[in-house]
Amino acid sequence: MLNQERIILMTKLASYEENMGKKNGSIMGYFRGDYIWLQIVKSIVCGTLAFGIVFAMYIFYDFEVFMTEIYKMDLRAFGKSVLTKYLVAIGIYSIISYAVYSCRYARAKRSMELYKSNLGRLSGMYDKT
Amino acid sequence: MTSLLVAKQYLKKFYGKYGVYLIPLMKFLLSFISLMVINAKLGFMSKIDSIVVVLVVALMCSFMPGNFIIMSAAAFVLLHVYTLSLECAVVVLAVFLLLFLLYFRFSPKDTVVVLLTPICFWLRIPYIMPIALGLLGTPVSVVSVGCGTVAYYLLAYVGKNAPTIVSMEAEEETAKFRFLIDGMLNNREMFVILAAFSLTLILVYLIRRLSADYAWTIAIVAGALVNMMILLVGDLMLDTKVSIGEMLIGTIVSALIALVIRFFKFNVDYARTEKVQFEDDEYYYYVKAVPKVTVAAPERTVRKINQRKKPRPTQKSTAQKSGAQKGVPHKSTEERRAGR
Repeated sequence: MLNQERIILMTKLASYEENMGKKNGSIMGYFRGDYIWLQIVKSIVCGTLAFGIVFAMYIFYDFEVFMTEIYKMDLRAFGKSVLTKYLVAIGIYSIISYAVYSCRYARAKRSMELYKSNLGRLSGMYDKT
Repeated sequence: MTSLLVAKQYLKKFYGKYGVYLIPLMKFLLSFISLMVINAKLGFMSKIDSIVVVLVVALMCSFMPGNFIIMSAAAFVLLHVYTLSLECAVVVLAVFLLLFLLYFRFSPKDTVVVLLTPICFWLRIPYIMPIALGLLGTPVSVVSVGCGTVAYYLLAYVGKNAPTIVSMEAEEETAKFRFLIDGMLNNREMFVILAAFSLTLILVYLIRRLSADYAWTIAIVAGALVNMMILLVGDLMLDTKVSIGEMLIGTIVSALIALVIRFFKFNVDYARTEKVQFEDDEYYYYVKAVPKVTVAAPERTVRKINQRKKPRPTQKSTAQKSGAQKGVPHKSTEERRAGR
């Protein structure tokens, strides 16, 4: 005799495992701190690449003027200003990444807890029969 | 209204049954439309401005992951722009790389959004995107809408100023570079649209998540009004020359489309709301349950009346098995019921 309630629960669990379960499982494979740090490091790499592209476009925008001025300008002050802007940009991007990935970790954790509780419910159904 | 609900159930059943075929078909259509629009608006490279090439690429996109469509569209744009000018291609490549770095970090699944946003701009109903994503997505979708908006304005600027770029001397590389970057950075309309869309999306998202009655409808109306307000204020302050009539009609059409989305995604009956309270060992619960409006789609069954089954020659007829008398005709079910 088929237990309809058990089949429905098993189908939902299987569907979760197939779709969101894989993604959430990979997130929950890390501790919260490790996961967020890993994502922030990836964001820093992407942010550095993006800053490099923007800096290259800034140089090419006034390339002729830049090449004539380069021998007259205070390179140390120029380097300092570029570095300050880079650190500010990376800082803002890292804060946004921290917020986004903290939310994603919390959501994945809640989702996995619900999945485990449903697994426990399923196990209870088998124990009753 | 009931017929609409029945139609909705039929659509859901149809999608559930044929989803495996529908998803590649929709990907094919999306990539086909995107590439045809790119060819129509740019079209500088004749080799790829051909329906055969578009069909082949669209067919490949239907079987590949969603982000392959964005890569194909970006490749098409770069090839067209490279034909126009190398400096254009460098600027467009740099902008695309910046958008990809931002987009792939936060919302890599929003392929459809990045492609639909420019298409909606060309259809003159771009305001549907922030409202629809506020209803269906999360605030992170702001990134995808922003990427789509920037891509649209970049392509529109390149397409509109192609004769100017072509007329510039080959030696004027820096001038071409500066012309394109100034065109993007001085495009006040683009920045006003980005601000309007971001705020609208976040507002619609926050309102539709409230537990108030008719939250989704209020979110759609509020989103449409806030969007119009920000565009009008931006027009007054920055003189963006927005066409007010077009904006009004576009917003109304977008709000109507959003109401259709609401019908499919969140159709509930607030008149039958139930509020219950209960407790367990840890918490006291205040629960508000709002039932969904559903109707069972009628199942079609074909019933044949007054057709007698002819007994098979090798088997005994039912009358013989039940021990009925010889010579007494066997009555059908309807005849027996009529006799009662």
